[in-house]
Amino acid sequence: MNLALGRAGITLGFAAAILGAVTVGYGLIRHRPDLVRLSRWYAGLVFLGGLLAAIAMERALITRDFTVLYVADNGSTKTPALYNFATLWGALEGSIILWALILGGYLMAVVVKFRKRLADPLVGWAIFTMLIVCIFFFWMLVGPANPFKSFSPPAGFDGPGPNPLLQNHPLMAFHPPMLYLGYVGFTVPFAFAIAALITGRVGEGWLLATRRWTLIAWGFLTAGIILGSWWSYEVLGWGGYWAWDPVENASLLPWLTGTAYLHSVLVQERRGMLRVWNISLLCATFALTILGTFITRSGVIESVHAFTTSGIGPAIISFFALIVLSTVVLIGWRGDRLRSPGRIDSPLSREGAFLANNVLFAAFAFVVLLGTLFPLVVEAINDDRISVGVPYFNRMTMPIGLTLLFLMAIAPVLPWRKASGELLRHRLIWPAWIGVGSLIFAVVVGARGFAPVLAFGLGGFAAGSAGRQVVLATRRQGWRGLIGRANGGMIVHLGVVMIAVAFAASSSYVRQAEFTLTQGQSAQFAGHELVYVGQNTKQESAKIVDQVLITIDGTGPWAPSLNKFANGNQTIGTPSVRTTFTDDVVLSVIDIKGGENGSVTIRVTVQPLIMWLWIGGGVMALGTLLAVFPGRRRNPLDAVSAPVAVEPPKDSTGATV
Amino acid sequence: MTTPTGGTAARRAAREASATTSSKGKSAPKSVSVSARRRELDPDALAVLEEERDFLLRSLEDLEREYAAGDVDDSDFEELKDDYTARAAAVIRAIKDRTEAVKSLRPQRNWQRTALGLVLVGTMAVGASWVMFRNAGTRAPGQGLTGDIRQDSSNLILQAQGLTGQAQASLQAGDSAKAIKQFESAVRAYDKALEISPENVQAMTYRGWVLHTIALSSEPSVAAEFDRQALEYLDEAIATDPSYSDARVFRAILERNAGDFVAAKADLDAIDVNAIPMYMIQMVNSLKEEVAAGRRD
Repeated sequence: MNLALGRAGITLGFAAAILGAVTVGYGLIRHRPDLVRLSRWYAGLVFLGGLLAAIAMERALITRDFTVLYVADNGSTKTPALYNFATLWGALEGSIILWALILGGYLMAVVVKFRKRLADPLVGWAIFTMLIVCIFFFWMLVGPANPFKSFSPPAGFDGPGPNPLLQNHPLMAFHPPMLYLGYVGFTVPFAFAIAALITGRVGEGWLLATRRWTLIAWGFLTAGIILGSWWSYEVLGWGGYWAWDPVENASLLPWLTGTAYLHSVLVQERRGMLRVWNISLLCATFALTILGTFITRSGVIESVHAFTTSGIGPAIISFFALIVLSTVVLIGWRGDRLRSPGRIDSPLSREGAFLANNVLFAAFAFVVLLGTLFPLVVEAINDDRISVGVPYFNRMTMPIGLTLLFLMAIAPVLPWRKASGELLRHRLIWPAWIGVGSLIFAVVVGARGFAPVLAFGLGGFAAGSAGRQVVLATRRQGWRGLIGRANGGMIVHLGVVMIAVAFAASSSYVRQAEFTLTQGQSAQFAGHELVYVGQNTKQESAKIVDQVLITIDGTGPWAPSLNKFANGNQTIGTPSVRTTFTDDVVLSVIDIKGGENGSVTIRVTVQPLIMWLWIGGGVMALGTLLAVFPGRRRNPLDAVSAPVAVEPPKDSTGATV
Repeated sequence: MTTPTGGTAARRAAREASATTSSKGKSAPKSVSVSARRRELDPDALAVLEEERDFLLRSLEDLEREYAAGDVDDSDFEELKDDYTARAAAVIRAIKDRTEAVKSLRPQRNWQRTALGLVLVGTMAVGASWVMFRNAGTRAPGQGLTGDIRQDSSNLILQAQGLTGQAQASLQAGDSAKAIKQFESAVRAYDKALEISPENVQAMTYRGWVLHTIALSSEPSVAAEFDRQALEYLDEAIATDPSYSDARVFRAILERNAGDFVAAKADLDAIDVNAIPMYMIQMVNSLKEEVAAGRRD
């Protein structure tokens, strides 16, 4: 039943995507709007196909239907309900189902949103592009990543369950779907960018049609990355939240280019500039989501040679190449039309600041991409297995991050076209004082080191600037001063500042040590007193939990543990975290000795301001939500804040024509 | 016959464009608002005009076909053809005017600025690559392609042992330069382990032993210094845990190599043979024989 339903779903989705693309494509080429309008039916069928496949797989997981190979490989009767549900995205094939379902959902949403403009070639080509992407992912499902292969389980068979790390924290149920909603969401603006290139309507119309979609995708991706960091912090037990590993980098890359796009798109809307750049950024963002999928799902991380042994790796990398090639060809074809008639008047202007912001984000993305791909290239060329260490990423990204903080302080107060020194003095005086105050406060409470102290000062400066904008907007517009893209954006900036300050503090002042303690023994570390008070063993459905009970400064006991999973005989640790507004104490068990002595070895990590990372993430999510709501209506193509008369064109000698 | 979307808007745009063009020759307007100029130069409006042009040309073809098939009479044909031709001409003229206007307003390419941009991008790429080369190293077993988590001492020791194994394989393959780099990575891993667990005798012992292994493949002048440092770590390990046999065995080897058979014998005698792993028993016994006989190897 589950197999049949699932196979029917993926076949339906695949067939509908192919037929839809052929019909819509033919309708667009032959100028047959009646055919193009049929896209609403095909979109519905694609979505239905994805939904059926997801329902079939969830049903198979819940009923422990081991005749489905995916369930036999990843399911278990012992897995708790929440993690059993989340097993859908716990392994490759299931995660492609989730991808296809979300893609179908976005396609359906686009068709519904643009239902009155389906015959518009811009919308038609966008839907066509989305259908092509659907064909690829449903092809993966019916071909190399088929999750509905059959299996004949012997009597009494029970599967191994998902990877123990994936059933150790409830965040696993939320982080991947959020990330996928972000990744897949970028298909919509990408499809409209391609449609704009095909139709030649590369002005600002397609931007206006897609800006909310872009913001939503970016918001989900942001939430996904933050939740992923949180999961890593709560589960992996190494006392950190960001390790610059390839999987993290793969999610950060589209976020960086997407963030750059969200800023540079404003320059195109207001000034008609940066058209090539914006389209390139958007296409790069989508291409990087596919590259990220290749890095995380093709097996290339284990060995560069592994990805060719499965059908997945070559398929994804070919699709990535197709995206890059099509984009380059289309941009080349429309190159002349994409050239803007204007130029940035002064670097000290809003557009100048956005341009600088984009250069920095692009440099950031380049640094991360270079560091991530270099070991793969080296291994492919001469079989040398190398690793690019954390110091590379930290050294390269720290100055970029600090400069971005500085820009975050300056840019919101800059007018379009040109700013005078007097105006800047007037607008920046309070934010600057807040920055200086933050710096002094940080030094007084013990902050040391050039980079973190500068980060605190710049953080205060940027927060002051964003706060000033929010205060002015709410004074003018009341509660409406909190919503809309510009105002919501300032709330996002406040969240970013919190994260930046927390990141600087936690990575600069982290302290870590290991202690071997016998029962009743205590240890002093980083101003905290730890006392080992005993052990506790719990039997849960999927694991045996050996807890070590430790009090921290008299609170607790906190219970880091070693979990022995019934299937696979794997033992993994689960840290215990004591969180306060000022610092976190993370306890992890390294070893539990049996016998009379009964000593335990624990690792203790103390990091300041960690909680502000999660609060900052929440503020960013809130800001994105506020930005998605329509603010005060204003024609985005209207005059800029400092109107300047259009100068007559000049010839090459500078003479007026 | 098909009707393109936005046809009315296209006609309006064509009329506006034609009006602007026709008035241009007489007296150009003194000031045009920025938004009006933006709309005039908007590529979307140009695309709509192009769509309108394609539609009118297609309609003309359709009309010719229908006329040839006898579906349209002569007078209708003439009237419709004239109308289509006039409209198509107006749209084509508007497209041409807009294209020229866009070209004339486009700023001249500043080659100096482009060159500066390219130099900056090149410098950035070279700088990033240089920093990356400096921070790239041999991937230890279990280590990822990029980045790293903060390992605990036992994982760091495992990592260091894996690197030591790789280094020995490189030595056997005759690649001593690669081996030295791998040994150095192993030493760094032991250092990290000692940073978070300063009393870890295993890390102290094996750090010392790796230094001795480096000494074996070094020039005699520097080998002595490596051995001196190795001995310091082994001394510290034994001082921390006198019953840790690995440290005693390694120190005995160094003492024997230095000809200090008395000290070597003392270390070997201090080892509890019942507490050491099987594979070490044979090594300890043969060492004892060598020390007793006063042999260096």
